[in-house]
Amino acid sequence: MDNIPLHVKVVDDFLKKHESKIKDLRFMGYLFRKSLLSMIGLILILILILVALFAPFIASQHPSYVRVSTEVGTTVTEERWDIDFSQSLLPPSVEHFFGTDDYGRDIFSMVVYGSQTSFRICIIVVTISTLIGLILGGIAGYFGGIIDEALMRITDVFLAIPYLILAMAVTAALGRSIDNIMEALIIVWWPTYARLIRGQVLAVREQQFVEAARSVGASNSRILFRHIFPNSFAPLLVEITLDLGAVLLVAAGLSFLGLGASPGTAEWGLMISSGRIHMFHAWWYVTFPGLAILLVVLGFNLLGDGLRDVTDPKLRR
Amino acid sequence: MRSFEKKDMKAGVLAILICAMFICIGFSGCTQQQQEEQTEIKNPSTIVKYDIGDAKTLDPADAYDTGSSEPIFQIYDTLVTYKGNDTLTFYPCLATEWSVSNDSLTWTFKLRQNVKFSNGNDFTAEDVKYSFDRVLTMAAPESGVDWILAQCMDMNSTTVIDDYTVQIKLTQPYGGFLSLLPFTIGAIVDKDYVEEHGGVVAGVENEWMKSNPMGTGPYMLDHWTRATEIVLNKNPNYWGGWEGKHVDKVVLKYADEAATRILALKNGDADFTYLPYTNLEDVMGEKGIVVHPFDSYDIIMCVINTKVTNNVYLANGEVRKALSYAFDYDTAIETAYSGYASRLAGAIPNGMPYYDTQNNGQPLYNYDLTKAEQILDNAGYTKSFDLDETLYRFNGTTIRVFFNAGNAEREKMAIMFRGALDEIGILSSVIAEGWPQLLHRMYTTDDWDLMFIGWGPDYNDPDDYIFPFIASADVKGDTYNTGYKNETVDEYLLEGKYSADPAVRAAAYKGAYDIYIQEPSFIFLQQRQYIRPWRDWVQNYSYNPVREWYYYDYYKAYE
Amino acid sequence: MKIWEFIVRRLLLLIPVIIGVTIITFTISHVIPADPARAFAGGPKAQPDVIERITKELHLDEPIWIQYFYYLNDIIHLNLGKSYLESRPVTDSLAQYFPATLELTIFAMLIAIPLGIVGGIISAIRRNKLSDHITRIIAIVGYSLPIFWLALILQYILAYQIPILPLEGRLAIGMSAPPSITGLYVVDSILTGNLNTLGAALYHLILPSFTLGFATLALILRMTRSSMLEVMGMDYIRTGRAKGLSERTVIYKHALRNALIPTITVTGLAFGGLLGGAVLTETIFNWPGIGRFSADAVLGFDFNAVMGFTILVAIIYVVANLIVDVLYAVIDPRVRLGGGG
Repeated sequence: MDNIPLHVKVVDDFLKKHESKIKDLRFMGYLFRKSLLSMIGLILILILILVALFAPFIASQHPSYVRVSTEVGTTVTEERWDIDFSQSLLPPSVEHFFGTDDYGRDIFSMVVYGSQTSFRICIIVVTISTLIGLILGGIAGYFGGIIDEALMRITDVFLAIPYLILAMAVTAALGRSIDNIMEALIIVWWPTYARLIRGQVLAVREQQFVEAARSVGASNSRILFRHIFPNSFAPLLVEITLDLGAVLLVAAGLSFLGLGASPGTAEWGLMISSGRIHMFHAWWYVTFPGLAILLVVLGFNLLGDGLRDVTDPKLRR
Repeated sequence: MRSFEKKDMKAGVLAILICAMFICIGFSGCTQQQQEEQTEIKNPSTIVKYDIGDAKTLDPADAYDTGSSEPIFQIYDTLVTYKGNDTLTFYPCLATEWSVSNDSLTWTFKLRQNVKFSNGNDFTAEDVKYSFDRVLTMAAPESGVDWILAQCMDMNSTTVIDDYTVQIKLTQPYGGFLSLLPFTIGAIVDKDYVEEHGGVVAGVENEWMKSNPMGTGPYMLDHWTRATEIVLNKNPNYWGGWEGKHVDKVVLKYADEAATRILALKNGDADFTYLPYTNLEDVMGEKGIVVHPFDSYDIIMCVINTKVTNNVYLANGEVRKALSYAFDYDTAIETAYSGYASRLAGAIPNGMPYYDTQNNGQPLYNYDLTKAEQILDNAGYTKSFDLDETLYRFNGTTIRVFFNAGNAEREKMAIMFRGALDEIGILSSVIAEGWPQLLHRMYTTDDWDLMFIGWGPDYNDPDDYIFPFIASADVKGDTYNTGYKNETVDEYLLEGKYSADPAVRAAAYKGAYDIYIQEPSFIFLQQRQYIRPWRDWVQNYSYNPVREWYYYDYYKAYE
Repeated sequence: MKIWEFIVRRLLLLIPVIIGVTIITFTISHVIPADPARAFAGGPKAQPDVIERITKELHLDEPIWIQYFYYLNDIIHLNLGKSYLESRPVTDSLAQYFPATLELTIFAMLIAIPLGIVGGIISAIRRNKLSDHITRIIAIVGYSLPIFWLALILQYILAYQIPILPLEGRLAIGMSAPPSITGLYVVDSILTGNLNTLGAALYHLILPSFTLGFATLALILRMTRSSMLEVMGMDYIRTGRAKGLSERTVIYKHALRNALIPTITVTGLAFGGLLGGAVLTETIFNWPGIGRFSADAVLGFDFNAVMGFTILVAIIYVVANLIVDVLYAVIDPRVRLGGGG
């Protein structure tokens, strides 16, 4: 009868099955595009991703990486930049778009490579925190009772401890490095996700379609994965996007205070910290990394806000 | 683009304008010079100094940091003191005359009469004996500073001859004894006052004395708001009197942020301030501000852990020699100290006696990477270890360079040093840590290779420098726990310490230098200058490398 | 469950949380390799017998679980040990610095809450009009701006270029603090009738509290706006409108009240967070509070100070949470009946 090829048929079936969902998504995309602020956010983040990906092609100076062993039996990779004191603290020019720092290094290149570091920190911290949160929060929310109570108390303990202290602990015990900062931040962040997921799960599990699924005999994991998680997705996405910006601010703040990147690394927070003493005679040193942080955090915030506006049915008027 | 509404565009443009304006205004003023006529003197009878680092204690018997000793010097007096920038002459303070016996063991001091503490109590010889005995008994539990007196005095040393005569019998001849007295450890406290407030307990600090000083000095404490300020008012009982030009009030303010201190100096809130060397250009040339360097005895060195249990390579004196050739001394001075420092020939700083016993005052090592490599090759440590296509020595062992986190100058030197070490094939890593962590490494675990440290004068004698650094732990030297030991050197240094004969001391220090410089446990980096920019209405300010600040001498006026 | 049961239950649960915090702080300080006894005794010049005495005093030579029990015991007796940086009991330091941060935070909230709520209402009512966009942009930029940048720029412009505000500190240079009753200079000045210090204290509070409150202002603005929007779209609002109630009544009586609920939550948590984290503002404006003290303690590895500070902040956080939850439960009956915190 039909001469429609198989693969087309499969796609057609898929589209028909999820027709309402796709319509929904297209409407959300439309609303999103209509908002200038959300688009600005999206563009900023896309720029960040591109810069991070193509850093070696954009920057004029490049770091080298050396493996050193500071503790017996372990090695760490250190980022090294060539120094040239004769070029120190030059104002922005054609050779050095953002000027140079007090070691003579090109600030533009350092900001560009710093985007890789920033990006890495944000993605890894948020991803792992979310995963941990999904698992622990999902279990707690779904099974309730004592498991839930225990999780709530544990998250209370972690949330009560200032992130500064945790960061100090990790860096003091393991040394100042980006990796250790990420570990510290994950410890700080996972309770937020655990609680969020738990809340979502609690809200969703009472709804009727879950009752229906249970009465039909669906197993717990099936309910969790097939029904609860997909419906918790939207607020989670919003939270993640906003948190990416928050993580960056906190990581920069820690490096700024001297608890993050080791001296000489191209990390935006560290650069601001090093640059701030030169504020009066070399304003570019503190301004450009600061702008970078501002733009990236702004981007994530605008994006997150935009997503929230389009995915929340109550706000769509 | 049609989907954007006009108002969105307006909003977007507005946002960009606001941000741009913020940034422009923020930094537009940076390059402006403020041309004004002579500005009116703010607070004409008060001197305000903005610094970093609050005091820890106001008890002279247990104070060993500049933040504490500075206010103590204004509140308390010592038997003898220095004046102006003269570090060679001892001036009478609470003692008016003094003499020493022929065997250099017994000193006799005649004391000033009609001196009162600021609470009205009389000053007598009893107070002198009490003060010194107190130092020895209490034994400075928080700072260990009592070692300065304990090295040549004990509880039987001080005797009261009469109300205004005191005698001090040393436990052994100590050439530089008089120079110990002007330091805060020699401050005279009021016996009755201390006895009323806790007295002296062996090995335990006196909490009352920490924040309630009582001295005979020109100023007394008005209030100490921690982390904010120490305010001193003039002591109306001061024996030196208040005729002439003096300020009535001294405010020592603390502000960690350099930007705040710069602005305070510029707008006249601050009469003096401390600025990192790199910020001097921010105020240099500004109308109303004076930037003037003074020579000091502050030195910076790189200590090396010579213990073979830590690192077998650094235990070799030849390797340490090579390291001395690998440091770019001149660039360090230019970049980290903005030129306000000079080379250091050895453990004794320039300006102190016997400086010339160190290779005639010329540094023996200069920046020479070729020589460094030669020495290493000759010693058998060739570039043979391959790490990612780069050849390193020492079997790829990483040499760790430590400094205390937050010190910008040392960070700079450390990173610079790392680059040079890279060039000669030594793998290194720069690590910034907190002071307690560094102490732990240095004294408990011995787990360190190189560390940047600084040292300032406790008293104006070369023994204060060379003995703690170069003498070994066996004779109570080796303050930095390097593990360095050479018995001949120890003999020389003991001789230098206890002799009063300049010729003997010179020969001893030369002898010691000639040996230790061939297997150095320190890389002698630089001697830095002391600069505290001040407002041009401040008069009569001078810097004394040992005593540093004496506000009674300064006043504010245009002259 | 009744409201009292709720409160009591939450209070009891406070205890395991605090214990959990003490375990973590204790572990932290013992994991870090450092030498507290030697540091207390003066570092390089420390005498061996003094080090020994301090080691015994601090029970540093005993097994770790015994040390933990000494630690707990000390905390219960409000002994948080001695601060190595300040050479005095940690409790003294915290008692001096905490009111400074408290005062700063209170004033920051006094700025942030009214401005945030008003801004959020305006934004919600005039949704998608120009004023909405402007307020949202200011809010978002304020929220994304690194706080010390804001502080440095404000300080430079308003305290130096056009000097209308003071550069730093809580009082004028050399001025004594008013007699200490609460530690809050404004309150103490009023209580002791000290007009001089009252004026100076208020004058010095303006810039730092604005800087500190700005991010919270942005946050409250966004929260108020979105919860207003959410509520304004709800059925009972439409019903009210349909019934003929004026727009103003609808907004103020119903929408606002219900929109305030999540705002209260955010405010409560922000307050708790600010108390513990005003580090950067305090550094730039030289405000002697616990934020600055904790940063110095952390960077200086002053363990007792760090642990003491952590416990204080943890207690604040937990209590703030409790208050917020109680308010929540009082306002929204569904929460109480639902149980599960």
